[in-house]
Amino acid sequence: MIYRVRHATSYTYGSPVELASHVLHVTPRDFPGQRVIWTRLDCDPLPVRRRAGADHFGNRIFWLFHEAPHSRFDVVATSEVEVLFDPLPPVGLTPAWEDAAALALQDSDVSQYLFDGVMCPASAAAGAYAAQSFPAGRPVLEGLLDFNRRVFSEFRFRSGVTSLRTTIDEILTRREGVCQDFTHLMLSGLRRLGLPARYTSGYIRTRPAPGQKRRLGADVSHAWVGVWLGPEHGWIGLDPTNGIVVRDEHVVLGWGRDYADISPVRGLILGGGNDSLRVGVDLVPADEWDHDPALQALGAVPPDMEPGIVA
Amino acid sequence: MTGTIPIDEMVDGRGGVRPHWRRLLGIISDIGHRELVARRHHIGLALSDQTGMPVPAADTLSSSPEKKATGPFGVLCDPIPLILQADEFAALEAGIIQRVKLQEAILRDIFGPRTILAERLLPPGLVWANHGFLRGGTPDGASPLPDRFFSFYAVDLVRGPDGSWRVLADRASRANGAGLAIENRRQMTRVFPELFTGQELRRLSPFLDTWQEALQQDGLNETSNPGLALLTPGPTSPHWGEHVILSRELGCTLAEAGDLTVRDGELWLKTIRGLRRVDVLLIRQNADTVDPLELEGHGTAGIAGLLDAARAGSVRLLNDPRVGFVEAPGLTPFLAPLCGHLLGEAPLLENIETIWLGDALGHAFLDKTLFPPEVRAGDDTQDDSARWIIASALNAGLPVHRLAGQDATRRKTLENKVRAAPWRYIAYREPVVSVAPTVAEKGIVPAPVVLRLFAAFDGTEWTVLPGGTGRVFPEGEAVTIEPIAGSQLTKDVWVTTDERFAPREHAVTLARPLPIRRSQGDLPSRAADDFFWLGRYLEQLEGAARLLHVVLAHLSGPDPSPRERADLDVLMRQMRSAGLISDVSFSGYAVAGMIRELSAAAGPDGLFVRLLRKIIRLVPELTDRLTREMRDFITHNAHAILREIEKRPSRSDSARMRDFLNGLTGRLLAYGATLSGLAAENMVRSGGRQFLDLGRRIERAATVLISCAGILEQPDVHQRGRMEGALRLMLELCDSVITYRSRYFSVVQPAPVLDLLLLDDDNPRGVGFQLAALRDSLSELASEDESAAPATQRAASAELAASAGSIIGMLSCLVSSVMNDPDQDRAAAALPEALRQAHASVMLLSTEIGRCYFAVLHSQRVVGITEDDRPDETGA
Repeated sequence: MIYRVRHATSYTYGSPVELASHVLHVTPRDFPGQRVIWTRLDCDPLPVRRRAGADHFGNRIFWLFHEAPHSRFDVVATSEVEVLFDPLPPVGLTPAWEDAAALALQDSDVSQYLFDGVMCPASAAAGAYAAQSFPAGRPVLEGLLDFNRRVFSEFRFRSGVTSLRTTIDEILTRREGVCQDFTHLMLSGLRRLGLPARYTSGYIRTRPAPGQKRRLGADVSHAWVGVWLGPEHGWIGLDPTNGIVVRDEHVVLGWGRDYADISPVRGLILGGGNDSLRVGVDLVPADEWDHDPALQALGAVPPDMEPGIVA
Repeated sequence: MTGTIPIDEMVDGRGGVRPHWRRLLGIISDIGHRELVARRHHIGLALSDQTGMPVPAADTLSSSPEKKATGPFGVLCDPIPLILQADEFAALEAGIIQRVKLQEAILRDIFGPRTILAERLLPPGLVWANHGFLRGGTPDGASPLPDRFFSFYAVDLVRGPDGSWRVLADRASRANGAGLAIENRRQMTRVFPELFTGQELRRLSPFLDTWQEALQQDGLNETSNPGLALLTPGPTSPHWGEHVILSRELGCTLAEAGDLTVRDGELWLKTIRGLRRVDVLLIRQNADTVDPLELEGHGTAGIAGLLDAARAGSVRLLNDPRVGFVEAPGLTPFLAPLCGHLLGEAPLLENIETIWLGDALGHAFLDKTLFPPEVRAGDDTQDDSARWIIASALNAGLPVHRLAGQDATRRKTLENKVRAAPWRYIAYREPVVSVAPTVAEKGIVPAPVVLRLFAAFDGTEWTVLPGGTGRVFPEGEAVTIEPIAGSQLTKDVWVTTDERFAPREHAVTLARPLPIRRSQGDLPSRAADDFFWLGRYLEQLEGAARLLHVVLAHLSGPDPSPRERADLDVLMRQMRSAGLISDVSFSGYAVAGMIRELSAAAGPDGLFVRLLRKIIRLVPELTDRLTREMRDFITHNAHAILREIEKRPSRSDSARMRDFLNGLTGRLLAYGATLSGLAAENMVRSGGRQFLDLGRRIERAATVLISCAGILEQPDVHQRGRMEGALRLMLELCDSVITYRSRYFSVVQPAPVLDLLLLDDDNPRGVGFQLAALRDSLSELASEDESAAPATQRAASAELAASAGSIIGMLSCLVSSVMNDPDQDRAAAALPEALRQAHASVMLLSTEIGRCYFAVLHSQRVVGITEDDRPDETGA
């Protein structure tokens, strides 16, 4: 499946910002199962300095530096991505979860996802909750699918009841929250058991209700868990919010230990005040995009690579 | 048992003095104890003079967390040096060079191919959870590795009972102490010349020359005059003194993060004349906070974009912030195999005995030795664990836990914490370290000593300083791996010469002659801002004292007449608006009652106390720009006045209170006046005095304007009698009575008084004088030559000068309107609103001065990891 994704972020500042530096995670990365065909980043006002590169985890990042006073900051990232994940291996072919844990410790890349980031410390309660899905010797994939299913069925999606400061244990008690909470809960539980897990940030396809027209910018960022099935089968994505395995409805932006590693726009600004933020995401199959006049109106794609455009 | 008795640096096992100490001991004995203590204090004063930190009292020299002071932190130098023999030093030198090469190789591997992990030479937890593992990004096409991680390195060593030196801890990221080593030697040769005559010692200056030359080379990419800066956390750091000394020795600007800014991928120092380029930055701040844009901390203590600038090659960071990785204590047990793997060598220097608790061996050690089930806590004789200290394996900055003498509850808490994640901890055997003779209050005592040695990279190879700092531990305090966190007692370290170990002397290229500079163009904006506020606070203090002085003069007689009472009402209103007293009505009070109310001004939360505290707080920030004389005067006298205020008489004793207040105002007025004189005599104008003056001028102009407005706001002031009283009060408050009388004798009329107070640029107490001085000072900044300040900055200064000029114009209109009015009294009575407008203009000028010269100081905010932009509201 080929998707086109547009991620628009718009800051409005109550008083002008004099200096700003930003690091952005707004364009998808390449990895087995996902290929980025093209990508462009537009920014207004134009920065005095702009660099593209990769963060520690290999995710695509942009550095933008502004030095003239501005009251508005708009960033639009547009990308075309082909997504085709391998089907899941039969659960019986994946190693016992204890073996997967031991193998992870020996892998010089995978091992980093055994350790917590600043935002999501290991929780004994989350470990105990996760452990119910992992009786001794159970194939790791079987345990993971069960854990994902349990979080989906035992937790209620409810926005506005949790915040970035809500702890894992509170989420566990409340049994409700948003995708980020479920993701952090699973990360914490799996790492507590010694299984590697990574916070994966990206987008999920939504469909307008029958007979309704697509609303522009109505899609949103999404988060789920990357889990590891051993060296042979590698990483897969589990989406506890929707209780599904990530196949071809998701586009991966990037991953890290937790949200703090992969927040879409991180910056330092001098000035400002009374800031307001608007984020709009559109994730649409490329052929649909080409037939939707509203999306067409957003600009020509594929883009001309004129100066100032970073691919 | 030889294993537990510390060896003595000076005395051998049979009680004899070691040969290389004999000469020194002889001279020390001749000097005598009393003289040694006196000269130690002398060195302490000299060090304090350089750093602005007080001479620490001997009993504050402790680093244990319970006694951890909050600063300010000072340094003492013990008069008896620590002697290293040539052969001993040669061995250490080789060991240190090998060690820093090993550390460099570890970093190149960990931030590069990570073969160490693939070959399982280091457990993953010690890498991924290592506090020093910084996760920065890499631009496309760039290498994630710098040319070098290390250009400077320090290591702490202890000598065990077997006589060999072992590494206590690596000091990779900040490597403090080299400046102190050089300064200690300088002071020792000055204060104890007799110790050095006829003594063949390795000199420290070649090392310093080499280091300086290397820094110059580092900055020689584009400019011929490289900008060097040393990044310090500021006067609250226990190493502030070291930073002051080192920046002077190396010729770099001492800067705090707020003094620096990144623009278009380059690092700049913010000065009052605009931005100045920095090519080389010596980092002496926590490495994980240097760039809040990319590093994990959520604080804003660093310089946003610094890592981007470093990767772009426009500034060199010494050392690379990632070197903190090798400081993690957990790495220690793995260094020997790593040395074999990476260098193909066996390590020349060993570490103190350290066990990582994360593997099977560590778990067994945890059960058998550290927390055995049967041991009764506190019984140290039976308890093998008492010799061990538990520390974080991941972060050298965390406090360590000494098992000896720990009570059962604390031990249990610690055990639970460690058992929950043993891989996060190490245990190391409490080192039995050698003792060296040290001057104590009663005599010379053997005291435990830790040796810190330094190495610098000169572009081709590593050089080790043939000297260092010895750090003396107080009696009964454990030697731990923790970094220095308080005042210290140090020792000069001597390395003897021996032709068999001829030092490798580097050919020293002569430094380029310095171009002559007249103005101190690099006055950082922060320092200018501090001077500006110092000026304003001093003037506020003086103005408030003058007001109180006038009030007291009006209360000197018997109970006031109705007319005098009207004056007093006006004065009391002034007191209230100046913040000297709170909102109290005095009308009904007799003199004694008024005095009682006035005592609030000198209360513990009164204006004087608040201002004096603000002034005292500013001084350390300005250490490197004020002479010792000025610093001492400002601080000592402010403290003395504060003490006097503490001893004030009871409120009810109005007679003594009146005397006390009279004495106090006298002291405060003298304080302000002397300080102005000292500043004029001692400070280079461009070195901060200009901003001190600007602050005073602004404040004085504002005070006069607001006083005049206030006095003219009283009822019936347009009547001749009241007007005359009001004018006299204005003259009194502005200390211009004598000047007026010398010109107009005793006839008091509005226009001459207003002219003298508002316009006359000859009256140093009047507004006109202040505004003219402001205008001239700002014009001076505007007319500097091209090379000193960029055009935009000069244009902004010119605009400010014009604003000062226009306020003068406004006041001149005002005075002539009164002069030309047939009824001057009535015209003067209508002035308050215009005077308040002029006051507002002066305050606006102050804000604009701030915006022009200090605006770059405002702190930044982090965005993007806050509530507003949580991802997702996707439903199931």
